[in-house]
Amino acid sequence: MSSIRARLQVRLLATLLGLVVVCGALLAFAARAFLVDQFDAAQSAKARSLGSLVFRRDDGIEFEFADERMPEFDDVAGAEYFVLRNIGGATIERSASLGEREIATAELSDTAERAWDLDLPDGRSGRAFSLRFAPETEEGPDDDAPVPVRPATLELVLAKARATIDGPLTALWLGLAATGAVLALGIAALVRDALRRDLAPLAQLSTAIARLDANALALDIDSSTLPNELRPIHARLQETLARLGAAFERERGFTAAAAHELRTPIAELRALAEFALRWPGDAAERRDAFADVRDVTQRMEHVVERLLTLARSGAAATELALEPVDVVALVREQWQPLEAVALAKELRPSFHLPVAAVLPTDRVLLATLLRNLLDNAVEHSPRGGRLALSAAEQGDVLEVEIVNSNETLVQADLEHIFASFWRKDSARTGARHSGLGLALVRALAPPLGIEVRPTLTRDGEFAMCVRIPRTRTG
Amino acid sequence: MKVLVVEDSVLLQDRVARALRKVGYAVEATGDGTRGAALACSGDYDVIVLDVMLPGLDGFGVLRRVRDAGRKTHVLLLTALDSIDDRVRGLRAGADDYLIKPFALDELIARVDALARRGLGVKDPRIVIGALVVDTTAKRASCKDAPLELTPREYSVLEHLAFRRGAVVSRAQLEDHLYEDRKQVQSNAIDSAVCSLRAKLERAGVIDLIHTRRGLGYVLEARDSTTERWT
Repeated sequence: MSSIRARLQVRLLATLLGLVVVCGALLAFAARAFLVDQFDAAQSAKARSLGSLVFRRDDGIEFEFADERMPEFDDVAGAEYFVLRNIGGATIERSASLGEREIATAELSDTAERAWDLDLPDGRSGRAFSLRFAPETEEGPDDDAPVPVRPATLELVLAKARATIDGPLTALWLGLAATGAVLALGIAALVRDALRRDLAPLAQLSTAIARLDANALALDIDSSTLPNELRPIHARLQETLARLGAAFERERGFTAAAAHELRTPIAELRALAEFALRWPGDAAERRDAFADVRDVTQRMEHVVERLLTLARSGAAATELALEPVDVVALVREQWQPLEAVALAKELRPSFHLPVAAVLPTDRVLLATLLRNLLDNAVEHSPRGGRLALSAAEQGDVLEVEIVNSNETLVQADLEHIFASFWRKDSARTGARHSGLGLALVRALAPPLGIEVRPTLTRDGEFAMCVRIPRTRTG
Repeated sequence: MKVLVVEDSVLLQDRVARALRKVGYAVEATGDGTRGAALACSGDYDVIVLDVMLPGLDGFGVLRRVRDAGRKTHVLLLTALDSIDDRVRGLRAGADDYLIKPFALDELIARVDALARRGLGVKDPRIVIGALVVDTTAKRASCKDAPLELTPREYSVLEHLAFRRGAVVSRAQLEDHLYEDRKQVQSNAIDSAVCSLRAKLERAGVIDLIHTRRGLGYVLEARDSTTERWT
């Protein structure tokens, strides 16, 4: 059974009805015990009363019983029976109602008073009571003499029908059963209704969750209508769904942007090819066309490489190949291929680097990270701009800073620059701009334990600070 | 016919413009959205080929400005954004057609042709005026089933007049639609083309087709209206 409501219903009903049954049974048993006690007490009083009519004489035992004073023992009425016997079991006196029949007496015991259930001589259900006593002498006790302790030598057994017990008990059982049935129906209805009402918010939440899909990642349920226990669940779900929705949006945006990035050069290649096929032109035109094809394929290669690196960076955390790396030498190594581009743009690079700085890191990933940062700096520096590379030890980190002249970025752009395919200008067509360089930097930094922080200096220059830890933990 | 190409990819802009010129269009091109909007709102183009992702002002912004300016020029959107939402957005923004990159040049040319005809209210790519047939798709003219040997400029003049048959077209309008830069046009270039065209038509047996309205311009119409038909 997997339904909370069904489980609650069964447990509540079983518990409540069980309690009803137990209480009813306890009540019935208590009533039975009370009635039996009352019955036995009455029989005890009667036995003592009869016992007071038994005397010891010199010639034997005398029982001064008169039928007319206790007609219930009369053989005509016959409602009750008695037997008086001695300790040896010999009958001394018996009630007229017995006639020739016997009371099914229990074995003689030392108990002064006993009671037990039996079948009466007339077949009815009955209960017997026996009293062991020592008869008084006829002279009576001497008030001045001490009372002697005489052993009980006689037993008086009274037997009577249980009707005064069984009748009320039966009525009580029937009453309890009827009451129990009504209670059971009422409890079942109440429990069912209470569960339906009180679990309704859970059902609403469940329905709202069932309606979720990739295009509608928000619960359409007002949290103020939910009970306190469900509100934290609702709040956490909404929060998680919002993050999931944002992740889906980023994924969709990334996929759309990646598709766009690759479609544009493909469109260029197609246009180049179709134009050349339809209008081949002269040899010079054909040569120019092939040169254009080469440039476009290089751009595509650039984009694809970055996309693949970005995809692989997700696994980087578990595949680091740590080794001692001279980071300063690595910076110079990654700068070297960009020198020609920097020269062509008439940039003014300056270097403030220590001789060496050996740190434990993954050489390949760090090289990719540095290359993308340097490439970005060269690419986005305006012609004739400044570019400064510096590195210095700051406590337990090596800080590498790359500063370049900037004419386009403003403070508000800094929160976007690491987004995939983001460019200051929304147009995506450009010679080398893929908008993936800094996205790669962001993806590679965490597994390397590196902090990368972009800022705009007071002069409006763009600065990227890379903090590389000197030691690796874990 | 004159086309404005607004596309920021230098290579794509170049090939599209050259392809359109090869098939007889006069083409102006720019890679900036803001400049493209200014040209579209001030110039008289038959079709605008408009990229969506542009620097300055994106294609949707350009489109909005063109329509806000009351321009009814037909617009073909070019883009790599291929989702249904993007296409619907483009068409609802006022574009007349949408072509997703990468595209075939032939398809682009065919769509531009179709939009240009639509702008003139012409459904059939073949214009028949008496014995003259102008095939605007093949960019060829024939007379009594014999092809006419026309220069690209002569054909462009003939096609422009044929699209507007019966209506007077001024020299300035012809210069505007057939040349990318009127400043480069020699003063008698149009007259010279019309004169040459008339001579070739007459040699082919079609006379009195292109008429001069002094001080107004030219009109193409057959003298006997019962011989005109559209196929």
